[in-house]
Amino acid sequence: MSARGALARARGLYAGLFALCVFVALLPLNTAPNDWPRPDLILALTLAWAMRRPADLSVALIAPLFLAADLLLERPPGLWAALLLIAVETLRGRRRRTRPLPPLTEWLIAALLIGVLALAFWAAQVLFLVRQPPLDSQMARAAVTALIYPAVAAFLHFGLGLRRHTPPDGFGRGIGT
Amino acid sequence: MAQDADRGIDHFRPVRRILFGIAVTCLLALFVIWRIDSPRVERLRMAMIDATVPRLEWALAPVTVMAQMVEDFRSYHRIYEQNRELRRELQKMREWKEAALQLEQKNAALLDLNNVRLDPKLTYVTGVVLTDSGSPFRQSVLLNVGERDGIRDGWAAMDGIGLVGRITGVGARTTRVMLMTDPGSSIPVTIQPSGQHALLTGDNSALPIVEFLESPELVRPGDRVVSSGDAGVFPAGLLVGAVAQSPDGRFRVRLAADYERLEFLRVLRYRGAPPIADTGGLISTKLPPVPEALARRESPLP
Repeated sequence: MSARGALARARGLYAGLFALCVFVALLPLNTAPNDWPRPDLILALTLAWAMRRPADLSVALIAPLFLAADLLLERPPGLWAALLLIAVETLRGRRRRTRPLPPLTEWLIAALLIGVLALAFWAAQVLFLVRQPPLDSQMARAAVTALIYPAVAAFLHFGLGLRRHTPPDGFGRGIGT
Repeated sequence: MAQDADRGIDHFRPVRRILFGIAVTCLLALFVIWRIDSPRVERLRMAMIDATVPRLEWALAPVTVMAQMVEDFRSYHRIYEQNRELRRELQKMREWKEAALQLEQKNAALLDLNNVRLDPKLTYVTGVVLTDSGSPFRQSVLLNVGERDGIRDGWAAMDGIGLVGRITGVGARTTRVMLMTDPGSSIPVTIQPSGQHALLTGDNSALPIVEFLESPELVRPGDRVVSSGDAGVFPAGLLVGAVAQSPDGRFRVRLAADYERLEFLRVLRYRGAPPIADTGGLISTKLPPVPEALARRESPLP
């Protein structure tokens, strides 16, 4: 199988999972407000994927997906998509320097990133005077998302066999370009 | 194999950087535009939802029904209890139905005697709930009726019993209903029997808050809350719910509509009370023209 075919398949798989997450979020099962915030599966999925195979998540693929999710899920259009794009790009840049991460470190990085994203989202909306839910409930959602992250990562790792590409022996990439 | 994929991308790194910059700029620009000219971008959003969600109806409906069946199944172990409870309730309902019928007849007779003209009955369009807002911080649902069914912004949506929310976005085939629990929702209401006017504001909890109450001492938990029709948006007298008092002493409303299970909603057609434009000629000098025949007959008298 060609590399191009594998890449296209991985992208298709990501897009499919993304669509599934949006679909599940849209199902009219939670019409009454509940106290416990639901986790942001899309965020967990995207971060876990970007930790493993950032090459799959090309900007041309994820930017339209994120924007569509913003529009469908009643968020201020563009803001969350831009933040998520920046997060993925950050992980992409980090990829050169490190080898496969130990699970705990990966979780910590993801949790930190989720927290920073939620704070940035809140701050940007405060700056633009958008009416938004209080910070504590937004941070509660971020916490729930961080808690669910290992499950999503495990699903990608073991369920789909999504692993980070390690450089083959003798081809040590050493210092990033 | 996949190694090549990685390296292949590497060649285009600068290009990807530029693409990334452009994408982020565009997205942020869209956000700023939305902040400046919200209605236009919201229309865009509605058009996008309109184009996608009805296509998913075939998948949404069965999955929703399945999930609800699973939920129902969980309550099967209480079925015997529930059955008895329902029987008791039914018995009580029969009594009430009899009373209501008698009252209706009496009422009709009295109205006839007084020659009272009541508001015409409201007609409605029924829609199926397609999706909810998808975000834990917004409370809204999407219906499968839209502009082609004559739906307008601002109309009221009810389930069989009580008010559920109002229309906040209309596409060709879909309509967004902002529920009364949404933080952006505020609805003028009247509290009976004291007749107090107040504003019902959602705060993302199951019980919206009663605000701007003139004399709270007249309000008791359990009082009926109906829409007041003050803003001219809603017809007056739609049942909203009953007053409840939260532990911190604030008045909230226990909604009559079943928010746990919103499946079908009625959208009430309401064009607003016709405005009374002039003073009716009582104060002004403008009088209606006197008919010819009447004028001729009355002129010789004085």
